Order: sequence, then structure tokens, then C-alpha cells
Amino acid sequence: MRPNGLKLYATCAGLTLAVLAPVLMPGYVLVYDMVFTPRQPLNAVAFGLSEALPRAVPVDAVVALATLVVPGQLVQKLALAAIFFVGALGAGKLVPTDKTGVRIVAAVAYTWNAYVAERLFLGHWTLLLGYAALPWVAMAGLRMRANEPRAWTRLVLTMLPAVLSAPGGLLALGTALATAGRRKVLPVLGIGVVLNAPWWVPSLLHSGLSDPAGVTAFSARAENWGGPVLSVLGLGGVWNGEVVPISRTNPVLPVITVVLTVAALLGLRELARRMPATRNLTILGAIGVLLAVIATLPGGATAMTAAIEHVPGAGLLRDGQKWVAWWALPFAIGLAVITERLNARMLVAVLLMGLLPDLAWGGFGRLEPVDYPADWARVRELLDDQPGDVAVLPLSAFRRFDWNDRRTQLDPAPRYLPGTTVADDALSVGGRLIAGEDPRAARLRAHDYTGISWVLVEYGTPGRADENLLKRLEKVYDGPELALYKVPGVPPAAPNGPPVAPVVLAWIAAGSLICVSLLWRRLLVGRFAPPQREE
Amino acid sequence: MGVVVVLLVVLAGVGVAGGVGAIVVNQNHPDRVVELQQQAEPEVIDYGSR
Repeated sequence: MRPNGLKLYATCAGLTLAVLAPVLMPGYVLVYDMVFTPRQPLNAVAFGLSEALPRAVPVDAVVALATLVVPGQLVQKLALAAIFFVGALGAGKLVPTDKTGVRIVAAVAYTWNAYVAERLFLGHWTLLLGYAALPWVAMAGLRMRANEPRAWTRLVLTMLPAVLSAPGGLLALGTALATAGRRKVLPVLGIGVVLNAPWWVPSLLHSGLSDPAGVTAFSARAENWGGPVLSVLGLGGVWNGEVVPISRTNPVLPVITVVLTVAALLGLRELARRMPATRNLTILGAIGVLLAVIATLPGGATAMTAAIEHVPGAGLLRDGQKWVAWWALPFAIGLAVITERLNARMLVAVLLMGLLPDLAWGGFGRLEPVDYPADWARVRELLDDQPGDVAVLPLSAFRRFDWNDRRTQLDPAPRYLPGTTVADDALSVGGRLIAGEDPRAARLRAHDYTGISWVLVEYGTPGRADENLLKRLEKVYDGPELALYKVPGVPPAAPNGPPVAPVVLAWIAAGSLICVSLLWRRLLVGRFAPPQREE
Repeated sequence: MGVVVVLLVVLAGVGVAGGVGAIVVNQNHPDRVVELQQQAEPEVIDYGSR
């Protein structure tokens, strides 16, 4: 490794530790959508084979497989560390320069920003894994554009962290298309379609539509007097004001955002002379910004509402700020290139960090590992090898437990207990209810417990369990945190999800492509390919 | 030597970030949000608010 390469690696490690040092302590970080458990169940839901829309497919299946061999908390720490280390390193390596300081600016700009902070505090770790993969996908796309042999295998492998989630998969596909160029559209599309098949195939097999109320609830938000457009241009603007770092309300920030955006655009103009596809990446960034703010523009919310009401899968667009990831990459590398002529590049990197001080140290208490109370392991033991689905009360998608410092967190039951767990999936945003997408949860809300064999009651969180219902059930376990009831005489529920065969085929197709890529790169098969130009 | 300088600069950055962050967070007293939530816990917990 060259000495200047060592500096970049050291910076990436430093950035990772600066954010995640408290997270690396033993325990699980449970905040908003981020749920990890000691051993996640490998069930039909994890593969999108339930009645609910497959929103956490294939990541749930991959995490379940990983926790078969590695404890869940280690999986979580590795995933979070990869977001920062891999993302920063990729951004640094993407910049065509011989100055390590420039690479370091790109690394800092790409990982120490509002997008990463807000999505991390909202628990969107799968989206951020996809974000971290984007620079690597761009590098693989550029190799494909240059007709390098076996470049497609690199594209397949770099897209893997991104295709764990639907938005990540689409972000990676867009980046790959932008960098590989027009002549490689078909192979890139083919790779994208096959790798993303584990989530889009079960999604197509569901007929559910999302609640259009989510359009305004999840639209980009103004973080300061600059309004939503400047918030988004500065890589912020997530819908949930509770996860926005306080430093984003800095009154000088809109001005700084304009300065940094102009600097990044000037840098991109310089970069276009050295790196092909710079223009495409910039256009993709502009599309990302447009998708992010569209619901806040005149007529935009109406158009999106119509799309979500009538087009299955259009619900993906409702939290539009996530597409700003497409702007983050050209922003970071453009900003880095413009610092090439400066002597004080390190100062720029430090200033970028200084603009968002509250990302450091796990957001100063936002991300803190905790242990599950012993009741959870006890109930899991009781339910091991027991047939039947579990309903969870109180009916609420989110929880606030004392043992997690009353942080808002997704109900961990579906990912902690074996078998299939039915939990409420309706979302409340500022007191306004957005309908869920799981028909079984809707039946629970209507007090219809058909097909439910067990009822789990979680204590110490807002909401009530129906006492009249519980009186009719047989109490199997009663602890300080959880109670488990058996529903007498109810047979185990029959699976009622989409047909299995297309979903299995989707997994086989994606798995086969990954295996062929690995074989082509590493084993004898690849040697039949023409020699590489450079590696 | 170069690596050391970089590490020192990164550490300085983290220090600045950490120091300013601690002050900002302390000034804004984040526990106040939790206290308000506890005063009036709703039946259904908000995913978030705008």
C-alpha cells in the first residue's frame, strides 16, 4: 500500500470511529426502523411470502442467514461500520487525482453529511449500505464503459450491498446506468433486474397500494429558513424533524449550502475533463434532487398522490428525500476536485465535519447499544418449535421502552420471535394516521384474530391491550416486560402469501448471477476471458 | 510523519465536532423532548413528526 493510500484508509477508519465508537460497545442499537436481534427468524415473511408488502426483502432473509452463524449485534456493528468505512473509501478512490488530500475531502464530504446523519438516526441502515456502495458501483460502471474485461463481475459484486433494499437497488442501478454509458445500457439493466429480483418479484405479486396520505407526511422538510430545496441541496431535508441534527437549524447554513453547491458544480466542470460520465452523474444528481422536492412543488403532491393511488409500487416514491443520494456522490467528488488547487484541503475536510458536529459520537446519545430484557429470550424459548402465528399487543408499529431510554423504535417482536408475528403496520406521523399495508394487521385492528395462535403483550410502552380479549386466553408466561397467551383451539394459520415458485426463481436467478460473477473473477472460468488491460 | 499529521487533523476535527456538538446538545436540552412525550403518551406512538 502506498503511504498516501494509508492516509486515506486512516481517515476512513477515523471517520467510522468518530461516529460509531459508542455503538461498538456490547448491545443492540434500537432506534426507529433499525431493529437487530440475537437471531432473526428465517421465515416466509423474510422472503416476501406473506400477505404484507415485502418492504424488508431481501434484507431480512440475509440478516436471518447471517445471524445463523454470527450474533445479531455483531452483524449490526459490522453493517454500520461498513457504511462509513466503505462509503468514505469509495468516494475517496473515485476521484481521479494523485493528491490524497483531495481524496480525503471526497471521503469526508460523502460520509459526514446530513443525508447520512438523518438516515442513520432514522435507522435506515439498509439504505445507507446502498449509499456506501454507490461510489464502488460508479467505479465498476466506469470500467464497463471502458470495455474492461470482467468489469461486469465487479458491477455485480459492488451492487450487492445496495440490492438489500428496494431504494438501494434502484439507487445503484441508476448510478451504474449513468457511469457505464449508453452502449452498456442493456447489460447493466439486465444485471440490475436480476439482482433486484428478490424484492421486485414478490412486490409485483402483491396487489396492495400504499396510502396516499404518505405523500405529504413523508415529503422533504425545510430544516431552516432556506426551505426544502436548499435543505435537500445540502443533502438534508428528511421528513422526520425528530431525527434532524440541531446543527441543521444553523441560520448560516443556507448560505453555506449555496457556496458549497456552486463549488461542487465548478469542481464537476473541471472533473468532466478527466472522468467520463461526470455529466451523467451530475444529471442523475439533479434527478435525485427533483424527486426529493417534487412533493413540495406546486402540483407535485397531486401528481404523486395520483401515482400512489393507482400505480402499484409507486409508494417507493413517497419518501422522496432518499433519492438525494444521487446528488451526494457528484457533490462530494465535485467539492473535492475544487479543493485541488488549495493548500488547506485538510481545513476544508475539518470544516465539513464542523458544520455537522452532532453526527459525532453516535449523535451524542441518539445511538446507544442496549440489552434486551431476559423476558424476550424466555418467550422465544417458549415459542421455539411451536406452530401458529403470534399477534402482538398493544397495536402500534412503534414502541418506547424504559430499557431503551424511551427511544422510538420499531416493535422488535417480528424479528426476535421464531415463526410469523403479526404486528400493526399503520404509521402515525404527527398524530396523523397513515394506513398500513398488511391485511392481517388490519384484521387485528378490527378485533379479528382468525388464524392467530398466540398473543404477546409488551409492557412498558404506550398503548393498551384488550383486557376482554386476554381474559378469554390461556396465560402461558407473565414476566415484567412480556406476557404470552395461547389462543385455545385455534389451528395454525395456513400461509396466504403470493405463489412461491416465482419468488424461488427470483432468488435462484440472483444467486446464480452472484455465483457466476465470483467464479468468473476468482476461479478457472475467468481465465478463459481475455486478459485485463489494467488491474 | 504524513500519516501522523493526517490522524492529528482527523482527531482535531473530531474534537471540534465533539466539543461543539456537546455544547449544542447541552444547550438544547434534548431530554426535554422525552419529558414532554412522557407527560402525554399517546395510545399510538408517532413514527415521527415534521
